[in-house]
Amino acid sequence: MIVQIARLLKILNSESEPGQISLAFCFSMVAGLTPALSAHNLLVLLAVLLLRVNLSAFLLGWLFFSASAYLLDPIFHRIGLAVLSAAALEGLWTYLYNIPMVRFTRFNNTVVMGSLVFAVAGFVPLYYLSNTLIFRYRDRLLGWVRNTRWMAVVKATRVYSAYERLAGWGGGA
Amino acid sequence: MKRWFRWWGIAAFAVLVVLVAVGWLLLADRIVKNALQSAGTRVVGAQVDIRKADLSLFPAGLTLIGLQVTNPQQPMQNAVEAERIAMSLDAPALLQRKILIEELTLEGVRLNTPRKRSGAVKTASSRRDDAAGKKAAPSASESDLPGELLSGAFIVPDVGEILKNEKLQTLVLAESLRSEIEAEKRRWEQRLDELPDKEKLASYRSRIDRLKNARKGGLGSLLGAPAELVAVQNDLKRDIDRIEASLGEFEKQSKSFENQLNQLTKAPEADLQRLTSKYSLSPGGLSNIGGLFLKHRLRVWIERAIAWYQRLQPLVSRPAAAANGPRAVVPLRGTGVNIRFAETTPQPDLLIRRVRAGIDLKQMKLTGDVETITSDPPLVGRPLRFDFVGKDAAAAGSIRLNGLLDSTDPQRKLGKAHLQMQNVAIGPKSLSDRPEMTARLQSAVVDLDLRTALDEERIHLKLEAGLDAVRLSAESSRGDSGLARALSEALAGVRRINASASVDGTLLQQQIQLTTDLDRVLKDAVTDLARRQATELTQSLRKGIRAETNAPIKETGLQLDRFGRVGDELSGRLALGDNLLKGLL
Repeated sequence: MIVQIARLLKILNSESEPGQISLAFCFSMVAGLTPALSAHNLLVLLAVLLLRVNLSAFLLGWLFFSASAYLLDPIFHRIGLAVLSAAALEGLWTYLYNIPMVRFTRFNNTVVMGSLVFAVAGFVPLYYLSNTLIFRYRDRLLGWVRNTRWMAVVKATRVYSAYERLAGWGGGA
Repeated sequence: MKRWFRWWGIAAFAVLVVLVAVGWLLLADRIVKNALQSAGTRVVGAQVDIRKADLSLFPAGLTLIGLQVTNPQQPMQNAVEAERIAMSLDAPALLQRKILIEELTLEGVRLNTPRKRSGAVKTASSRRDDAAGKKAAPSASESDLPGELLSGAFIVPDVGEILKNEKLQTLVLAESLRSEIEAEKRRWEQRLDELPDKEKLASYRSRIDRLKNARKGGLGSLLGAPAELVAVQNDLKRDIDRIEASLGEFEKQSKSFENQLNQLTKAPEADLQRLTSKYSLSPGGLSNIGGLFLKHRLRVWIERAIAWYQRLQPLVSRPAAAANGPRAVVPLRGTGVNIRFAETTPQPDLLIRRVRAGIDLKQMKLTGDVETITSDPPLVGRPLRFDFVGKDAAAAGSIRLNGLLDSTDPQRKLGKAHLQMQNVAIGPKSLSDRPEMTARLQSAVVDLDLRTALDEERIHLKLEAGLDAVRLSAESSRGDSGLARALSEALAGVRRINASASVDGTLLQQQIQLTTDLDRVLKDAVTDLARRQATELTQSLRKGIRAETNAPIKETGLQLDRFGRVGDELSGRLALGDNLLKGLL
C-alpha cells in the first residue's frame, strides 16, 4: 500500500521543472475559477494529462482556485455581462449561440464567460509570476525548509522512504 | 516531442472520460429524479415525490413512475398522483437546453389521494415567518365560515356572561348623573353662603324696629326716618331679587336633573333592547344560512384553483420580453445570468405539444388531451387547450371539461373553461367542519354547468347547479340547542338543492353572489324556535338588568332629593324677605 502511494506521489511529482509547475498552476486556475462542470474543463483536463505538467501542483492549485472562485463570482458576473453585452461581439455570440454544441458549453452564462475570460487573461502573467517565485524559493528558502523539524518528521515516514527509493529508480524528482 | 508530451496522458484522459460517462449513465436516473423532485417541490411549494425515473438516450425519452404531488394546503394529501408518465424528448434540442416533447402520456392519474407522510416543506419565507412568530393570513378554509357566523345561534347565551362582558348604558348614565348632581350640590352650597342668609335678613328687622322707635322720638328723628326707611326697603328688595333669581336658576337645574333621572329609569329598557338584538337570532338572520354553507365551499374551491393557476403560471409564461438583441434571464439554478441571443430558428425553452391523460375519478374515468404547454406562447403562437370527457360505468352520468388559456398576445392573457356535469353521483363532501355545527353532503346526483373566463387579472364565473337525491347530515357538538337540532333535521330532510352563483373580481379578491333554495328550507325550519329563544333571552336579560341597575337608580334619586334641600333653603329665605318687605309697605 505504501509503495502504491509512493508511486502515485512519484507520478504526481514527476515533472518538477519550474515551468512545468507554473503551467500546472495556470491550468488549475482555469479549471478552478470556472464552474466545475463547464465543458471547456474537459479540454483543460486533456491538456494537463497530455502535457508534461506537475499534477500535484495542478491538484493543489485547483483546490485553491476553486475556493477563491466563490468570492470572485460577483466580479466574474460583471466581466461576463460586459463581454456578452458588448455590441461589437453580438454577432459572434449570436452565431455561436445558434450552434447546439457551443450553446451546450453555457458560454452565454455570465459567470462561465467572466471566469473564463479572467482565467485566460491571467494565464500568461501567472505563468511568469509562478516561475519567478519558484526560482526564488529554490534559491533562498529550499535549504532552510529542508532543515526544519517538520521536514525531518516527514522524511522519517515510511511513505517518504518508499518515495525516495522509487524516485531514485526513475531518476526524476 | 517527448519532452513536451506524455502520451499515456491520452489513455488516462480516455479512461477518466469513460469512467465519468459510465458513472453518469449509472446515476442518470437518480440525478434526473432528484432534479425533477426538487424543481417540482420548488414550483408547487410542497413535496413532489417520484418513485422511479428511467432516462433513455437512444431514442431520447423519459419515463417517470409513481409521481406524487402534495397538496400544499393539506400536506397529508396528494393533489395529484400519477402511476406512469412517459415522454419522448428531442435530443438535439436538449443540447440547446430546450425541452421539446411531442407527446406526453399520463396514466393512472388520481386526485386527492392520502399520503403516508407529510409533504409539507419549509420555505425560506415560512422559516422567517416562524422565527418572527408570524401567523399566515387565514384562507377561506379557516375564516368566513358559516359555523363561526352562526355560533351564536347554536349556543343558548348565558345572561350572566352577557352582563359580565357588556357595559350597561344605565349604569354609565347613573354614574354620570350622580357625579353631576354632587358637583352642582357643592356649587349651590357655596352660592348659598354668598346669598343673604337668615341672619342678614334678621338684621333688616332690627333696622326696621329701630326706625319705628325713632318715629316715637323727637322732631329730629322724625325728619330723618323716611330716607332711612327707603334705604332699608331698597337694600331688602335687592337681596330678595338675588335670592329669587338664584331660586329660579336652581329650579331650572333641578328640573333638568329630574328629566335625566326620568331618562335613567327608562335606560334599562334600552339596554334590554340592545342586548336582545345583539344576542338573539332573529328569523331574518337565518335567511342566508344555506347560502353561507355553499358560499364558503365555493370560495374554498375558487381559492384553490387560483392558487394552482398562480403556481403553474410561471412555467407557461414568456421570459422578460426583448424584441431584439440579447436579453438576460435569471436561470432556475446556479449562479450567474444566462444571456439569450436571437435564434435563427427560435424555439421555446419548454414545449409539450400534446399531453394525453387518463384521470381515475371515483365514479368514472376522465380521459382527454392538453395541447401546447409552453414557456413561450407568443413564439409558438397557439393557445393552451384542454378537453376532457368522462362517462360512468352505467353511462348515465357524464362530465366534460374543456377550455383554453391564450397567452399568445404578450399584452393580454385570456382564458376560458367550461365544465358540464350530468347525472354525476358525488360522494361525501364536508360543507362545514366547525365545532358549532358540522354539515356534510353525504351523496347527491349533480347536474352542473360552470363557465369561467379570465381576462388578464380579472375573472368571471357563472354556475348553475341542481342536486338531486340529496343526503345531507349535520350535527352540533357544542350545546344541544333546539335551534341546532332543528337545522340538522331540516338539512336531513332536504332532497333537492338548486343553486346559482356568479363570481366577479380579480385573482386576489372576488365577489361571490349565490342564491339557493336551501335558504328557504332552513329558514322555515327554525323561525319559530328562533322567536321562542329570543323571548326567553329577553325575559332573562330583563331580570338581570334590573338586578344590576335598580340600586344605582335608587341612589341617584336619593341624591337628587338631597340636592332639593338647597331649593328649600332658598325658598325659606325668600319667604322671610317677602314678609319683611310686606311689613315695611
